Amino acid sequence: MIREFIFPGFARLSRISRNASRRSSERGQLVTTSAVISAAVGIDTSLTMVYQLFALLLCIIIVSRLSLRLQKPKVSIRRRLPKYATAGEPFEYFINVANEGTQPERDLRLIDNPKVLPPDFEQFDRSREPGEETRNAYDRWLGFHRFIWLQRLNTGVTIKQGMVPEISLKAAVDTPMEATPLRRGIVNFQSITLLCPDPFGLNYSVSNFPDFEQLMILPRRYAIPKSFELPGGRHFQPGGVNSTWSIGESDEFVSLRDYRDGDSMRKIHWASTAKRDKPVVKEFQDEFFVRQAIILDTAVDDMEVLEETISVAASLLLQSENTDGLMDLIYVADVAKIVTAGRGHAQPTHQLEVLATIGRNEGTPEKLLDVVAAHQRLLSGAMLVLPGWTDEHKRLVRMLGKLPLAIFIITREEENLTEVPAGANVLPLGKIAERLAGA
Amino acid sequence: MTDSTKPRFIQGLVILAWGFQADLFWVALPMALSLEARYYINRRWALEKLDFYRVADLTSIGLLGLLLFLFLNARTYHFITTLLEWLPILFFPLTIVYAYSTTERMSLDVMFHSLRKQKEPVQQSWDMDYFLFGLALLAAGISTAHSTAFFPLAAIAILWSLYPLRSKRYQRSFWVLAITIAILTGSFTHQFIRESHLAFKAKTEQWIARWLARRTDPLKTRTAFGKVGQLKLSDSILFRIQSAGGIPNLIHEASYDHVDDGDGMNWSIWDPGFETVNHEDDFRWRFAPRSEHEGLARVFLEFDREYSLVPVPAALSEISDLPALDVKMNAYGAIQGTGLVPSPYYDIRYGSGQSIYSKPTKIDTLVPENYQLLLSRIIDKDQYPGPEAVAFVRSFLGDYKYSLFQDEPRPSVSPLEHFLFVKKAGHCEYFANATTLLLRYMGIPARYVVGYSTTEYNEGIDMYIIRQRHAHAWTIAWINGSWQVVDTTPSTWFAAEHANEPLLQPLVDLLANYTFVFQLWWNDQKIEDYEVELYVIGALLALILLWRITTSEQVILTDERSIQKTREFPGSDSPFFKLEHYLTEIGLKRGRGELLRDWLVRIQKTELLPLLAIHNRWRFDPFGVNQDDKALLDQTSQQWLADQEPK
Repeated sequence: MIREFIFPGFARLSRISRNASRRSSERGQLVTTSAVISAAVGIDTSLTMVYQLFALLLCIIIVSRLSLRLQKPKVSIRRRLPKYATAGEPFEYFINVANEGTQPERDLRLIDNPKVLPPDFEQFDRSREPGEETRNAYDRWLGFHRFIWLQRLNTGVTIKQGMVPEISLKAAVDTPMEATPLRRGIVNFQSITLLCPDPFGLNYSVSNFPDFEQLMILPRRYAIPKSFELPGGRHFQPGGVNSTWSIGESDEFVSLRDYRDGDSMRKIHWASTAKRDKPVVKEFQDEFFVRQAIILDTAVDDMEVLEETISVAASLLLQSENTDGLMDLIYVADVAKIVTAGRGHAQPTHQLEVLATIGRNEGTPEKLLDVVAAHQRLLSGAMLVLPGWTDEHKRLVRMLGKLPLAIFIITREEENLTEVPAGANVLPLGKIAERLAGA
Repeated sequence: MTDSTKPRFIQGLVILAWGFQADLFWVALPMALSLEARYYINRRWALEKLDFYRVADLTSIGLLGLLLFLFLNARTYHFITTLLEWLPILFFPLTIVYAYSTTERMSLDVMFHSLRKQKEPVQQSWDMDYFLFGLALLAAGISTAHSTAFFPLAAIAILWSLYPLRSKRYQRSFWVLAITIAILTGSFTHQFIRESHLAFKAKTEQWIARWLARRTDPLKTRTAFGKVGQLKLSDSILFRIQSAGGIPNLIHEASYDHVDDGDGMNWSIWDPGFETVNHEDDFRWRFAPRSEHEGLARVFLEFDREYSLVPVPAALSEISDLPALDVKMNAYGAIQGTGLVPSPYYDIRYGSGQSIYSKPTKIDTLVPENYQLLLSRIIDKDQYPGPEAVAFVRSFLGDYKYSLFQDEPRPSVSPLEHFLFVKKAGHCEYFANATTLLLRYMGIPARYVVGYSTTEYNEGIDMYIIRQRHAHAWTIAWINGSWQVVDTTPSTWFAAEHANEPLLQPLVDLLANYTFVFQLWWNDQKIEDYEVELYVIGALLALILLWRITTSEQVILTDERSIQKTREFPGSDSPFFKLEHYLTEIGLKRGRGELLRDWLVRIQKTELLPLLAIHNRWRFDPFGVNQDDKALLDQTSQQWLADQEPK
């Protein structure tokens, strides 16, 4: 009740403190704090001489602030972002600063400003900060730390202050910036702030340069051992024992053609390559490629489980990049979707982009079952990435019947799962990397 | 660790200045030296979070102890200023521990217990050096002892600490100009602040004086009806009396002889003159000749004003240990201490047979005409001459009831008339008023007295307890050549008021009494009495410290340059270096960049060339040398060195 009342103040407070903290260096804040304390202690000038200290600190702060108006840097600024970044993986990018003034620029700092997205009260009320129970009673009651955590998570990236190297006249330098994405999805960059110190190094003048840009943050991925084999590949069915064989790669040779990037080494026709002194590959009738699918269910309330499910799916996608077949990503957002990657289709990174922006399936997994049923006959194998192990999931597995399957179950409590099929990978939160490494 | 922007010496200087100002120089000196010595000592202790927690806990305990100490000794020390003056000592252990540890900054969970359990790492941290620097600078400004030195000191300290931080953007001259402007304006500003404060203070003092002048009731010479009654509403303890042989029932504070003829029954004194009582020695005043039968009591009352009435028994003969410059007394036995300072108690002697009241005058028999009319309704003026009058008054008022003081609206008739003829009940002020006036009406000199009744005895602390509600009023009458107490208030008054006390009062009393007993004990303690214990504790702590220092993990800091020099390289353990070292020692130093071979040839030590061959392989051959060659080089070089020794 009280929290609902003070909640709007959180965003304002965090904005004020963010703006205030970037205007002073740490020692500047120390000087300001000391001035306030000495004002309080020195209020009776007959009792102590602390008012003299206060007068001195006050004048230093005033001179420092005034001197900021004297030397304003004249520069232009441009950001250069990479195409993708990965959640949880720090990355470096550059901000180019060009000197347009009449003297060399020294001792400048840069702050990059992603668009800050404060949580709404509903999100605030619903979420729990990891480790919140270990905070002290007051912090738990107030929930300001939870607010800050959510705000950072929504914003999506933390960026360290960058130190601009010295820029000589008419020159431009790249300032390395270190950023850490906190979640998958799209991060909006809004502006860049240039800080210029006063002579004492206590305060900074602040100039903002609007610069809108977007960065795609791909989901966090886990390492999957090289030995892990996708189900339904032809490695598994050498003798035509399995019914899937009919969908497998045909040996029917069509023609030879020049090698293109992305072609499998296996398809190189060595004899022709030797003859023509450049790589030549055999081309087969392509409707008979191995076709696998990652079937991803996102109908789950637990956000942490959802994130991990998507991460596991992304990790599996990455693994499939090395194969030469087609890979379908089957999932349900508001409608059921199949994204296919492979030769003649989209790049696997496109699927990763899809995973980066995918949300929760608000409905039931029914839709997913329908789309899988329709698509089933094209597949030679499938990987099921499931948040939990519900009755629908069991139906899904029964429906896929004899298709070779690899099942990944992401769950919060391992113990509560029943009737887990043999060979399924159960991945409890916190042990996912460990279990996948042994997959 | 050493931060290149951290200025040396300045922290030590500020700490010394603080020590000098706060009269703690001999404490400050080792603090300053040990902090500055870190720049010359390259040993650091690899302390862990838990170690810092312990030191911080020690600081917290110290802080609590200091707060308690200052609370208990509030008479001797000014709370805030003393606390601030001593804080640098308190935070020194934490600072020095960080200075000599491999951790640079104190994360806030060290200082704040509530953050220690949280899973999320604490981001905020403090640099304890700057913290202590600021604290010492602040503390140095607390004492006004050397008022002209403080501003220059603060200016130098801040200038010195800001210089290494200056921005490379600006030329040095610009920095100098800016800091000069800041210091000069700072100097003017602080003088301006001081003068404004003084002017403001003078102005407000004038206002307050004017405001008070309009409102102050000269209480010292007058009492208003109802004053005692209002006190009766409070249970708080005013003072305590300790006496081995019992004390009089009534402790007097002042008596009055003159009653207004208005309705208010206001008593005042005719002769307001106070006379100084002669000292017997510094803190002893005598009021009557010494006698063997004197009672002795100790009154635990702390005066919070410079001038105050001193409660004493009417048969007072001596006051001693009263923390006053002078003691004055008026004709009505009111004793006033002047120049009083807070002190826990004073001693009184009493019962030598003399009274502190002056002999009666004509004033003591005056009854205003309006009251005469009233009293004539009770009795004829001349019906009971002499002592029987007292007996009459006692029996007449004996039928009246005691009622608790209530701040009720004034009746339409005078309060006395209302008491005597309508309500026939009241608290002590009514009885004392009526008694005094009745006695006077019948021709007996009488005075109205206010003071306290000593009816509550506490066995736990073996003392009489006087609360505000024990305030009492009674009459003294001049009978057979002496002043005698005539207290006509029904004796039930004490029980009636006692019954009215709040439910939790016993608990509050218990707490108050034990705090009081503890304070008494504390005031009696002298640090000298605990010398042995303190030495033992000190020695134990020193031993623990020594043990901790020697057993904890240590790190040797090395200069970047010396790391280059001492870096291990292949073959650095070759015995040939000993030969080179020996030859250098005897003056055959190798030239800069001179090859070893050329050098040996130059100094004509060609017999060492075969050894050099092995040495070079040891140093530079990727496959190294085998053990046999190593042993050969080792033996031959040792042999050669032995041969060089003068026989």
